[in-house]
Amino acid sequence: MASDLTGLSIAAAAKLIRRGEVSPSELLDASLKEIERHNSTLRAFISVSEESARKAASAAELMLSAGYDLGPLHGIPLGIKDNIGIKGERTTAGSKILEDWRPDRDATVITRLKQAGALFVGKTNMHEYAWGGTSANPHYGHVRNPWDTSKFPAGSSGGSGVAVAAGLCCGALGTDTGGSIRLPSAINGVVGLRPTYGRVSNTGIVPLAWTMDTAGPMARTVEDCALMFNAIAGPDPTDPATASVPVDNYLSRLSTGVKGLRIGVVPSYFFTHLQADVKRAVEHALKTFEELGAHIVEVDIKHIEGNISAQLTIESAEPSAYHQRSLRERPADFGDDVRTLLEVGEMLLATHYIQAQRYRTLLRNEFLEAFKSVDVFICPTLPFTATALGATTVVIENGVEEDMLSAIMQFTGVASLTGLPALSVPCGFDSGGLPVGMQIIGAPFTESHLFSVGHAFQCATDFHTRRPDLRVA
Amino acid sequence: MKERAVSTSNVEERVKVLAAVADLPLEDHRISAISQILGRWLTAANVLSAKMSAPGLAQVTPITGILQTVNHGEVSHGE
Repeated sequence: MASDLTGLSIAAAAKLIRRGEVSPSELLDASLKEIERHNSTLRAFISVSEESARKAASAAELMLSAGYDLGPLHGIPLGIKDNIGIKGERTTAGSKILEDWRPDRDATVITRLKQAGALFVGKTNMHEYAWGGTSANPHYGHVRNPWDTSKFPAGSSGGSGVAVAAGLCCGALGTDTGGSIRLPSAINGVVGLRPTYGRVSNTGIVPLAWTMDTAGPMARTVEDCALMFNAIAGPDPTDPATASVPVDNYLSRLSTGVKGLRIGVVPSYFFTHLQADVKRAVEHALKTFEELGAHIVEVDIKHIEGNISAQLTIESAEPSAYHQRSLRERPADFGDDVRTLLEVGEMLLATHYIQAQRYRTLLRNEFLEAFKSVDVFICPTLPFTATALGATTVVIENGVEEDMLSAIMQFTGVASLTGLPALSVPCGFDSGGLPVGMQIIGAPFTESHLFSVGHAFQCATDFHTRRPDLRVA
Repeated sequence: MKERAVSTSNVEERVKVLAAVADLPLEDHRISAISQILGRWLTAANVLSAKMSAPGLAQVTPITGILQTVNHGEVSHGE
């Protein structure tokens, strides 16, 4: 029964709750049982909040019995990435330095999810301080991929991706600076949204790089992501970087379909230097869209080369500023990889940083120009499928080993730098049965449009319905 | 500006100097690990700086955080 309930989508679970066929406590019990069964292997959660979650589930039931229905997230158990503060709950950001930190207030996204009735089953494991793409955590254990536990889950929101893929919770929150929602979504076969920069508040979230940080939903279906996004999107007076642009009902366009949709592709960048299975899966997805009535438009983005350097420069300089004091007072308390990256970030010049920020303007303007002739861009989320746990290099083609950090953000850096929204959707499997994901990138504040495109794909395919076999996990 | 790779020994020397400039205490065993990454990143960052120094891009101003000033609104396809 536990697996049956935790395999439900949020939308399906919400219907059962409304009909009185399952209670929030039963749903929570199922989630807690799955965590107990699999977390020692998968290490998806750093902390499990059983007591507070049970209280919240009981309160959710009381409210429902009194006729107060907070909507589709009412009574739904979610996982929360451990850099997102929950009042009174341990929030480590995957670090030793914050191992005992219990925030005195909720992050804005937590306040909004509470208002929508969600339950928080625990805090998910992650790459230390979100500064890395593998979720190999020296303090709380390496997160493992449920499809093959000898493989990595990507990151930095690896615990959230694994928790959702393995059915340990119905959905999760992640954060994405250079790809940290999209990468583990693709590698674990779930859906994840990096919102437009400024669409979701970062207040109460431990920062990585202020000018690129975002928070967003991870779930098994596009519809579930839209349900979660409805709760968390919107301006926040406590975060000056949030936009005053009105929010949509992100479910309202879900069934619009893709007839007439103009899909931009950049063959010279997004379809070179990637594993053959990944290329095949994304090209097949493009054919599916064509069969559904969309048109493929080849686009040249003149200055797309250079985005990885710009991203690495910004994403190293900003965290090095944030962690400057800790790096001097407690250097040995950082994991080796993060300590090295923070030290490197202190050694780039101010001119490198400013040129990288100028490059962002250039790249953003080219994409905004391109959006006059296309509605979305589609590309692989990353150029390879899950690689060995703990690996610091990856082979993409011709047997050449490449640095993991540069390789993993090859395709995600574009949306991070430009601030554009990007949805990662499962689009196939490699020859070893590991998931492949594609990114759907849109114009600013068009998340509802991305959801409609992703939902159309999921209505036409079944990749998102396949689950890892946890009997071998 | 021409693209030039930064040699390992040069980078190690620079790491020592930059650590001193930044008032960052650095044990000797840290220098090699930092240099391996910094050497690659500096080479790429210098290439990007050269690109951004082109006269045709002189009017490009930096993005420093607030990006939401352009709203392209809804996309009308399929309706």
